[in-house]
Amino acid sequence: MRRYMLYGLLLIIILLAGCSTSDKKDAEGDVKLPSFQKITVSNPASEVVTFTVSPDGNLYILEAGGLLTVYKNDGTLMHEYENTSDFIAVCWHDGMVYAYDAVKQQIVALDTKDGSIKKITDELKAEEILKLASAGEYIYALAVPEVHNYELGPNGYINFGEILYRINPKTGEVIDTNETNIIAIYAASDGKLYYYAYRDDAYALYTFGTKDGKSAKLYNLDDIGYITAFVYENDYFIYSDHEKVVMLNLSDNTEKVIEEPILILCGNDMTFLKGNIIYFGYYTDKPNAINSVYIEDINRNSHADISDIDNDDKKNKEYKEFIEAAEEKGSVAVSIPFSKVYINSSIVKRISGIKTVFISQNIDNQAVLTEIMAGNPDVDIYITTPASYLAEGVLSKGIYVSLNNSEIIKNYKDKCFDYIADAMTAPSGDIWMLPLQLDSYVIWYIPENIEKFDIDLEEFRYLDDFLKLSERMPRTGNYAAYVETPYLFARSLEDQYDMTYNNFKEKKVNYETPLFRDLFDKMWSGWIMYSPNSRHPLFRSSHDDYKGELMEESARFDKTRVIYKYDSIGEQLNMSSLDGWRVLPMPRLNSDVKKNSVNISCAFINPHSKNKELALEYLEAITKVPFDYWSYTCVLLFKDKEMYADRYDITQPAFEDIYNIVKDGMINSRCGFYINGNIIDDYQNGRLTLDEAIALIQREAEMWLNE
Amino acid sequence: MNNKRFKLKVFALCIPGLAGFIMFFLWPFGKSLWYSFIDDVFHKNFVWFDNYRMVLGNRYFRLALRNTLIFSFVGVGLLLIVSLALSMGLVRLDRRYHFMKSAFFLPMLLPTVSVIFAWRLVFDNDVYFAWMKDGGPLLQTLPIYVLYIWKNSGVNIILLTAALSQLPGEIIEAAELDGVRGLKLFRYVTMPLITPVMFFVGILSFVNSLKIFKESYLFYGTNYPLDAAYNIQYYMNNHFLKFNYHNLACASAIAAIILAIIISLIYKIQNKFTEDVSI
Repeated sequence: MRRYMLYGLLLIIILLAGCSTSDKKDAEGDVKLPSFQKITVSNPASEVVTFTVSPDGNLYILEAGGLLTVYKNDGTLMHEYENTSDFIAVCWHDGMVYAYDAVKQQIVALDTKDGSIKKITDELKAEEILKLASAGEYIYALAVPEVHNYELGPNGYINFGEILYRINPKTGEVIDTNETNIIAIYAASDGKLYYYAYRDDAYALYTFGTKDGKSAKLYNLDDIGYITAFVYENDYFIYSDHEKVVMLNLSDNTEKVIEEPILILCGNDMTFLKGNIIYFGYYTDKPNAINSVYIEDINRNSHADISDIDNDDKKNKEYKEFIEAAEEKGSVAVSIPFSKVYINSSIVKRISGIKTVFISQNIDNQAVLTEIMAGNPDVDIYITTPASYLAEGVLSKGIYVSLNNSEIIKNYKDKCFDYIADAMTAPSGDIWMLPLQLDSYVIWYIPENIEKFDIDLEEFRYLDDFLKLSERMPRTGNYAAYVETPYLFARSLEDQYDMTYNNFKEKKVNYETPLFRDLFDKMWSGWIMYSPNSRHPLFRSSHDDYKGELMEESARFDKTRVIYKYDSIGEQLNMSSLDGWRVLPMPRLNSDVKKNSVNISCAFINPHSKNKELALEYLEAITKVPFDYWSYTCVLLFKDKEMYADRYDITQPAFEDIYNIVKDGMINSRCGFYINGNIIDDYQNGRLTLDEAIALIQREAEMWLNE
Repeated sequence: MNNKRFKLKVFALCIPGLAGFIMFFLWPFGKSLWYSFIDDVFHKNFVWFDNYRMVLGNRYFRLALRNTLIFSFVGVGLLLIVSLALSMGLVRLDRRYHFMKSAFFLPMLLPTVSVIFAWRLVFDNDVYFAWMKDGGPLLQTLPIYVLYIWKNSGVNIILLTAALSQLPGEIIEAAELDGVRGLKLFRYVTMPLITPVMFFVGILSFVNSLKIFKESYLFYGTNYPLDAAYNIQYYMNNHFLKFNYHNLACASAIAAIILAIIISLIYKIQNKFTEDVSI
């Protein structure tokens, strides 16, 4: 009897050992992709923010402007949870979904059975949670106190001042682990917490003792550099930089690219379940082609993908044709004054074979102009705006390469609005630049709310009426009417004045008029600083905590709460939808002002470049994918509305409104003159009277033009 | 032969210095002069004296030049008077207090930005701002004059005290025996003897007066200060910022010519004065 019991026990042990071995084998071999079906996020169709997966494979997806929604792994929508629109990070722990409520700045727990939400912690004072992870009996939160307060370090390291909190879900106790320089965390299936950090001038993988709270370095991973998210299972380190997902076998140091080009923003967007990497990201070179995907956002083409490519699908055929990459031709150095994350260089590479090498551009236009005039050959293409000092200098000195020889660019110019085509033309008649994107600030409003508050649309037409309107808008409660970036609003009004009444090219400038005097007084004597409606407390400012009240960025796109707002077209198009919105031009100074000012970005070729032909080909390639080269912006350059059909919802009335505004836009051209901020400061602190301030502005303008 | 070899040796030893002079002064100066005769650095069309005509005809250039010359003459004059008066006092001090000469030199060693920071604490207030607005050119530029004198008096004091302490005692004694004292002694005996040093100090002060742009720019905090403070360096700097190298080159060429004329006049007067004194 005892012998049989022993044999039975041995059998069980062998079986158990066999199971664990097979798990390891799964991980050791190719990443196995289960046959999940395509799931379309449809209720509401907007951008996926983050997600978590329960052990049985259900997806809990948080959508921008929407609710936490649970889908079965076959795409069946199971349930929407109420009161979850303020969540920004989620994780599964012990049968509940734990989330970070961005408004209350607390960790809460959602009971998936009845949808009840329970507060777990007190206020964490974190603007952003990069990752919530469940390891052992604790939940770990990688928090960023202030997103905009970051430092750039060596080797590509970006220090957001992350704090790793350990939260006891039972007691709500929050402990700062005092671990620093953490970039990403991951709670593995072995119950341990791992983190990737930059310390002692090197990137490395560490483990964090969930019991003793002590860290130990596991692997030096300095070759990888800065990443956004990772998974560590069975000695496989699967990570995402901003271009691809790579699986690194740490035991033999072999690497495999799982997916590219894809942008995964942070740890909330990548996880692991039973041998599968589940991630959600932005495909940067598949604008319209869609693989079989795990989660698909039909509006934004952002999805989590763990499935195989289905070759029979028509769209996948398109994708296969699309990905026939051109032969590699070389590389072009592009100087950009912002992060390269916003540029889809892979799409240009795919269609032209030209790789992009990014060079960070000095934000000081004069320094860049000096660089060009000094004959810097290291940059092939500069990106700037035609209204900038740099562009003015380039045009006046003739330091650009003429694009006249390119029929492709000439045709592109013919498709643009007339004023954009004019901006593309230098005084010599040459085409000097290629426009890349266009944006403008306009008034967005919700018709139902306008009616509710008895607002006449005519009140948005002129500045005086608009200011009176803003005075009577509610300051508290659930509705808001506001101006995003009041400083920009004021400067835009100055632009209107300059473009209507001043002519810098002919040196005719007059600020000593009653109109400008009145405008200056209205803007700088208090409306910007003190107006109660220049910023509604409902809306969070990225730079201040207006009057000590918490605000929520997500409400900015909430149709149920916004009455009207002055905001950019690009932000709305990228962060939300046009459905339910209408658009008006920004208020005008008076009836002499006929057009809305617009900002466009453009690219021109450096005359000292050694790769001028390749740079020209690069620009020609951009013209083939004008909507995809630049992320998080809008491209409203073209006369033909049908050109926008694939990218924007042109059936929406709001789109028609936008089109009509930008059709008659104007690009500011001050030739580099700006009103001195010191004059504004001295006026605001009482050292200068209004007349003295205006006189000084006039004096400076005259000196600038005539010295 | 030896003479020739000696000259060659001397020339060889001068080469490093000459090379630096050519590379860092002559060549840039020549290039700058060339810029003043072309339309811009890209098209490089020779335009003869058109740029000079344009610059000389520009009222802001004339304003800047006038302000520069006024500041130089008034500032140098005041500086010389202050330095001489302090030197006369320091020379009479006991040896134990000679360290005080060094104290006057300290302002020159201080970083400009720190100095301006302190200057603004003193002058950047509502009362002075009101004076500056309504006052004349002197009040508007008073901080710069004070700063210039405070910063540059140290070097002058050292040179002048050295000259004063080396005056031949017997001449002074002889003059005193003849009943010449006080102001007359200073005017007819001391001044003529220290004239060469005075001229040198004057030229040095003049050159330093042209370097006041840094302090002025930091103090006023703008490319377009009040009219009285707008000097030639502002004009040149603004054109540099706009990459109008032809205007910049013209302005610097004109300024260089005017300064060369002034300095050569000073030397002529100095030589004449020195002759008269020797006679």
